[in-house]
Amino acid sequence: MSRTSVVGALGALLVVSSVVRLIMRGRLRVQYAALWLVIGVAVAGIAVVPGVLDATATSLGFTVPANFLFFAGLVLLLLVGIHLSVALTRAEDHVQRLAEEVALLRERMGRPDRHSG
Amino acid sequence: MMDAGEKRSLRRGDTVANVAKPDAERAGSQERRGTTPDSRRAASLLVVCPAFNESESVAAVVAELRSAVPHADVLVVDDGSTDATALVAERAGARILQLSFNVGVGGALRAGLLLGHREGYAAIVQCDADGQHRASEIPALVDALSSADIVIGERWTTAGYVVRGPRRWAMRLLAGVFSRVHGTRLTDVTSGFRAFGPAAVEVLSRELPPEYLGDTIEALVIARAYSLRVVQVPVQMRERLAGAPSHRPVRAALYLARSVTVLFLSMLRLVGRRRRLPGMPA
Repeated sequence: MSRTSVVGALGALLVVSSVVRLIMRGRLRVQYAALWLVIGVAVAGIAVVPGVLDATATSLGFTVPANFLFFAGLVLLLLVGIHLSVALTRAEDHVQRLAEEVALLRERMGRPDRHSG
Repeated sequence: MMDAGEKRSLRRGDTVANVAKPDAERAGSQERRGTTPDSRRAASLLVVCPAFNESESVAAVVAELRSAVPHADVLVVDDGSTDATALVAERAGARILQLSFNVGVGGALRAGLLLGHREGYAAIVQCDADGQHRASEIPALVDALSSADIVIGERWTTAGYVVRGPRRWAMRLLAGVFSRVHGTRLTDVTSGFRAFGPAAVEVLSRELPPEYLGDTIEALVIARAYSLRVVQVPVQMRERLAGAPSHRPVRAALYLARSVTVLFLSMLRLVGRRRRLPGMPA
């Protein structure tokens, strides 16, 4: 195995192990973890078998395989960013809903507090 | 979300006149306080005032509302104020919704609409807590609900109400677009003095986006998506009791840019399938 393969594999291992640790501590939901695990495993695969990357890049018309890697990585991260925006929108919507429900419950309970919060 | 007693079909065409007081059959108590809100008989009209740090003006506004529209319930939505807005408003005789943090006018309005929807009010009027809207104009807004789901109080007829520069361009652009979209003359779509019929309350309490301009621009786009009818009624404004509107050019330009962006992005909601109200035939 070449030195770059080792570096790549170590990087992927770092991603996968930190994702696994976060799940174990309950700080990352499996829903989001799955995405990062798939990416980590894919990076590890490319590191160990660089031929796959070269072949794919060549067949898609990239003269320099690294450019294909950068391109694919960029698109992937953009998609992840959009996915997170969607998740955030949903979370904010839930927070707003809950704030409304709490306000309605407080109204039923009677007197308002001097300061809300 | 709704219990059986509350579940009634709402459709385009329901008006204040033909929506019978829906809570009449389970009216247990006439008391205003001390009972759970759901069990008391709902008045047919609810006035919702979103308020953020308005302790200086809110008492006068509530008092004015109570004398001008005595048959209405007044609800002040305290949008995470850091002053005594809620206490002052309660002492003045309003019902209070206290949001735990500031969510903006759209979010505060939505909370008020949700309460109004759950308790089956036949009409809801949105009114500013800073005193710029005249309570005496509310009956005119509510009357117009007989032929519409949303009534906008249009401010241009107020003597001395002038808007210049980018803010004016934004308002004119929005007026042109929404007049065309709704097929009726709408010249002041950003007015915060509006009346909502039951169909609009049902839809907007669910879908109004709690973000900047969500309560005005997006609300009208959503109204179109659900085929709600929108009309405008001229109203006279008053100088604000406290605070002043901003007329700084940079902010006005920013307002124009944001309006245009929100307008075109929210128009995407109109693409694709038409939405139906729960009670509408398929």
